[in-house]
Amino acid sequence: MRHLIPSFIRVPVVFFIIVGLVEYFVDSGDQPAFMEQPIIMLFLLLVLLILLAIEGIVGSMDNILYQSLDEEAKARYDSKRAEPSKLTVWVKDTYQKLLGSKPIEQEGEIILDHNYDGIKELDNNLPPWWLYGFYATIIFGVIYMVRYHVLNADDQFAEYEIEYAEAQRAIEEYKKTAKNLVDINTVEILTETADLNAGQKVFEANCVVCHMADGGGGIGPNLTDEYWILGGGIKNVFKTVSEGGRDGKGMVAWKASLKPLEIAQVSSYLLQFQGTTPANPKDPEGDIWVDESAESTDSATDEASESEAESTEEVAEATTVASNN
Amino acid sequence: MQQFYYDNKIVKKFLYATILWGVVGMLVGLILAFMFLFPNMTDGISWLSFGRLRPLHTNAVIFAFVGNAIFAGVYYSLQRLLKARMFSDLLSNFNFWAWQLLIVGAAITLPLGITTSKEYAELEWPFDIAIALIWVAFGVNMIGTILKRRQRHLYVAIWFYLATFVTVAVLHIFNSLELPVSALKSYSVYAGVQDALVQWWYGHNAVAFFLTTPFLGLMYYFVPKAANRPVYSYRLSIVHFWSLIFIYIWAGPHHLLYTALPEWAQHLGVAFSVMLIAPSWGGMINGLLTLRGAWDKVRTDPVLKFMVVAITGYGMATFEGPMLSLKNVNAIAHFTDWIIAHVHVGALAWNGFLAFGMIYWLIPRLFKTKLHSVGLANLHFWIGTLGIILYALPMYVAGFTQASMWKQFNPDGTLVYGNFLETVTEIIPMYWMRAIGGTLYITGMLILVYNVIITVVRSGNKVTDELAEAPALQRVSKSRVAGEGWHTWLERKPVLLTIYATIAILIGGIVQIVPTIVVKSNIPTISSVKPYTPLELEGRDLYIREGCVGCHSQMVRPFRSEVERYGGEYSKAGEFVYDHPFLWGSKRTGPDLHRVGGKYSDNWHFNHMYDPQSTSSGSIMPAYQWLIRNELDKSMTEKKMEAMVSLGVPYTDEEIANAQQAMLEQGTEIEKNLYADPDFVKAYEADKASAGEGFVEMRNREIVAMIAYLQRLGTDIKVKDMINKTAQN
Repeated sequence: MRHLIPSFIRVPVVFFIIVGLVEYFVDSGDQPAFMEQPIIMLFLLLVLLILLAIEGIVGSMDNILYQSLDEEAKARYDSKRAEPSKLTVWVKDTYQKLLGSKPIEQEGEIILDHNYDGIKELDNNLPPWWLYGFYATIIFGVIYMVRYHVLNADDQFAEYEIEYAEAQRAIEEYKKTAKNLVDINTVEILTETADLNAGQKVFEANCVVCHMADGGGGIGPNLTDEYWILGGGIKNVFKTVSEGGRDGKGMVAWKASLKPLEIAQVSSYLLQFQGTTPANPKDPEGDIWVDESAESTDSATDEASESEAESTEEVAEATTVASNN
Repeated sequence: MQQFYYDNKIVKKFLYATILWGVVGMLVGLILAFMFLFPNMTDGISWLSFGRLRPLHTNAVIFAFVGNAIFAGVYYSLQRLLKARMFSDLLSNFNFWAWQLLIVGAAITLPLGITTSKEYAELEWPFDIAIALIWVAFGVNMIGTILKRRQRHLYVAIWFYLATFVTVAVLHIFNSLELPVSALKSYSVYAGVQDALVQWWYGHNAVAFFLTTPFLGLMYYFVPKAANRPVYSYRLSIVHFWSLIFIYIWAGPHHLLYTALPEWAQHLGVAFSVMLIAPSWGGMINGLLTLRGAWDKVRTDPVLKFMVVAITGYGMATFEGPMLSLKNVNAIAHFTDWIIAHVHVGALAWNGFLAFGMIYWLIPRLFKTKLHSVGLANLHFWIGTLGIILYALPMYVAGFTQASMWKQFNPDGTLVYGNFLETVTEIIPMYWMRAIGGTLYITGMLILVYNVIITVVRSGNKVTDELAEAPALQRVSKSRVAGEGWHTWLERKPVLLTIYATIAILIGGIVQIVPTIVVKSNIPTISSVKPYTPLELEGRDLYIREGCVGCHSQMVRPFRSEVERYGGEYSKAGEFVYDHPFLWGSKRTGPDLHRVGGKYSDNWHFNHMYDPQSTSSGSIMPAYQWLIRNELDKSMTEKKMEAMVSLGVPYTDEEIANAQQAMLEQGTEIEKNLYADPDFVKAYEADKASAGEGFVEMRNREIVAMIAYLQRLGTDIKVKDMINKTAQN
C-alpha cells in the first residue's frame, strides 16, 4: 500500500491534514490559527520535520533490510513488488467498466469500414458513466420543471419577500441588544474629539468633492453660512445626509454607504463650519434656519423645509432599519 | 478514377487572415485589460475609449480570428472529406474577401460608436445584410461541394459544419431584425424583455454554433489526423451530435436568470443547460479518447499538446457553464468577472489553442516543409498555457470576491460595502494579474507569427493546389439498402440531414420566443411607464454609442442586496416596453444604473463625465469630455421617433412635430440646473466669452441629452419621485 503513494504526495497530504485539524480544533477567531498564535507555526514546522524524518528513516530501514537479504530473497522481493496491487487492479477494472471501451489490442474487432481522408472510426460503446450521467441530468431537468411549475415552489419574487422578512427579523433582534445605535430621534450633536476626527475623515473621503474641504460649497451648498435648503441643526442635517437631498437636484442618500454612527459623526463635524470663513464661499441657498428646539423641546424641529410630509417616524425607520419601500 | 485538385490557396489565405486578426483581436483585448489599471490611458480619444473598443475586441476575436480559423479549417477538411474541390472558386474567394472587408468595416465603425449595442451583434444593419449574404455564399459553396462529392457518406465533422451553417443563419437573421433610421442607425424591432430573450437566444448560441460546433467539426478532422488514430466512438459521435444541437438552443435564458424575464423561460434555460453537460462532454470524450495509444506522441508533438489543452478547456468550460446556470450559483457569478474568466477559458483554450494546433499542423503541409522550430512551438504552448491560467484564476477570485462584497450586510441592515467603488478597488490586483496573463498569451501568439513567417520564407515554396484522385460515386438506391443502419443511410442524404438538423435547432427557440412575444401576460404592463422624451431618446442613443452597456447593467435583480444598494425597487418587465434595444447589460464593472435617475444632481453627472475621479475617487471609469464639447445632433430626432412609432411606441404626431422645441426646453432646464455649481458657471462663462461666433450653448450639447436620459432611468415607477414632481408643480 505504501508503495502505491509516492512520498512526495504522502508527506504533503498528511501535513495538510494535520494543518486542517489544528485549524479545526484551535479557536482562533477570524484569523487562521497559525497567524493568531505564532507558536503553532513552530509546531507545524516541527510536524513537517518529523514527517520528513520518518520518511527518511523508513526508507533507509527498507534499504538496509533489502541489502541484508541474499540474492534469491532479493529476487523474490522484487518480483512481489512488481506485481500490481489489488487496489491498482480494481481501479483499472472499474475505469474500464465505466468507460465500456474495447482495449486497444482488440480494436480490430470494432473498427468500422469508414475511411474519410484516412480517418477511421471505432464502434466503441457509449461510456456507461456518460450515458447514465446524461439520464441523470434529464431526470434533473424534469424534476426541476415539475418543482416550479407543477408543485409551485417559490418563485424569485417569493424568495425575495422571504429574504426581506428574515433580514427584518434579524435586524430587529440585533437592535434589541445593540448599543450605541443612533437614529433621527436620538441623534445628538457629538463633541468628543474622537468623534469629530472620525467625522472629518468621512467628510474628506466623501463630501469635499461637492462641498469643499472648508465647507465653502461647489456643486453642493455652502455649509458655513446660516442658510439651509433642508434645514440646519443636527437632526435635519442627519436626515439630509442619510436620505439625500432634493430628488434629481441634491445630494445622494448616504445611508447605503455610511453607518448611522458615521452619519452622526460627519453631521457633527460639518456643523462646526458654521460661522467660519471659507476661501471661496458659494452664495447662500435656502433659508435662514433658526433652531426652534431651543425654545420648545418638542420634536417639531424635524419638519423638513421641503414639501415632503413624511412623518418623522417613517424617516427614522428608513434610516436605521433596512428600508424595503 | 477521376483526377482533381484541392484548393489549397484559399486555405492559405484564411490561415493568414486568422493569424493577422488573431493578433489584432488579442491586442485590443490587452489594451482593454490595461484600461482597468489606467482608465484614462487613451484620454480624450473617443474612438479609443473602453466602451467602443470592447465590442471591437469581442467581434475581432469571435468573427475575425475564430471565424477565419473556421473557414480555413472547413475549406481544408471539407474538400478532403468529400474528395472534391470546392464547388466554386468564385464563391470561395467572395467568401474570403467579403469577410475581410466586413471585418475592416467593423474595425472602423465600432470605434466610431456605430453600434446596435446588442452583444456580439453590434454591427449596424448594412453589415448585418452583408454578413447574411456572405454566410449564404459560404453555405452554397459548402452544400454545392457536398452535392458533387466522391465520398458517399458524410463524416461527423460535416454534420457539425452543416448544423453551424443553418443555425448561425437562423440566429443572425432573427436577432438582427431591426428598423433602419439612417444609413448607419437602426432600432431593434424587439423591445425590453423580448429583445433580451432574442438577444441571448442569439448570444448563447453564437457561442454554441460559431465557437463550438464548427470547432468540434475541426476537432473531428484534425485530432485523428494529427494523432493518426481512429475516432474513438462513432456511436458517441451520433448521439452527442444530435443531443448537442437540439439541447443547446434552449439554454439562452440562463443569461437572464433573476431578471424580469418570465420565470418559465428562465427555468427552461436552467433545465436544458444542465442537460447539456453530457452532450458537450461527449465531444470531449471522443476527442481525448481518440488519443488513446498516442499519448507518447502528445509528449513531443506541440500540435497534439495544443489540441489536448483545447479539448480539456472545452470540457472545463462546458461543465462550468451548466453550473453557472443554476440559479443560486448564477446569483453570485452573474455580472462579475467570474463570467469573464469562464468565457476566456473557452476562447483562449478551446478556440485559441485548437486554432494554434491547426495552424502548426497545416502550415508545414501547405508549404511542403517542416515547421521552422518545434522548440518555439513548444515555448508558445507553455507560455500560452501559463497565460490562460494567469488570466482565468485571478478573474475567478475577482468575481467571487466582488460578488460576496456586494452581498454583505452589517447586522444593523446596512451594506458593509455600500460604496460600489470599494468593491472595485479591492480587485485591482486581480486585474493586474489578468493583464499579465493576457500579455503572456499574446506573446505566445507573436512567437507563432514569427515561427510561421520563418517557416514560410525558409521553405521557398509556393502553396499549390494538391492533386488527388477518386472514383466518381455510383448511383445507389435512394432508400435504405439491406443491412444499412438508419443513421448510415441519413449520412448519405445530405439534404435530409440538413433538414433534420434545422428542425432540431428550431424547436427550442420557437418554444421560448414565440410565447414571450405573443402572450401578453408574460410582460405585465405598468401604466405609469411612458416613452422617453425626445432629448432622453437622443441621450439613450449616446449611451448606446459610447458602449456604456459594456460596464453598466440596467437590471436590479430581486435580491435584498441589490434593492438596498440601487434603491427602491427591483426592475420590472413592464418598465422596458419602450426600450428598443434593451440595455440590461451583462457585466457590472461599474454599478447598475437602472435606478440612477434622480439619485445624483445634474452637476454631479456633469462633473462625473468630465472627470470621473473627481466625484468618485479611485473610479476606473474613463472621462467622457467629448460629450461635454460636442454639439448634439438633433437632425434625426423626428425620424427616430417615427421609427419608434412604427415599432409600437405611442408618440403622438404632435409630440413628433414639437420634438425640437421639447428638446430645447428640457435642455434649457438642465442647463439652468448646472448653474448651481459656481465652478461650472466660471468655466462655462469664460468659455462663452472666448468662443465668440459659433458658440454652442450647453443646452444643445450631447452631455445634456446624456444627463436627461440618466435622470430618467428607472423613475417611471419611483413613488418618491412622483410625490416630489407633483409637489414641485
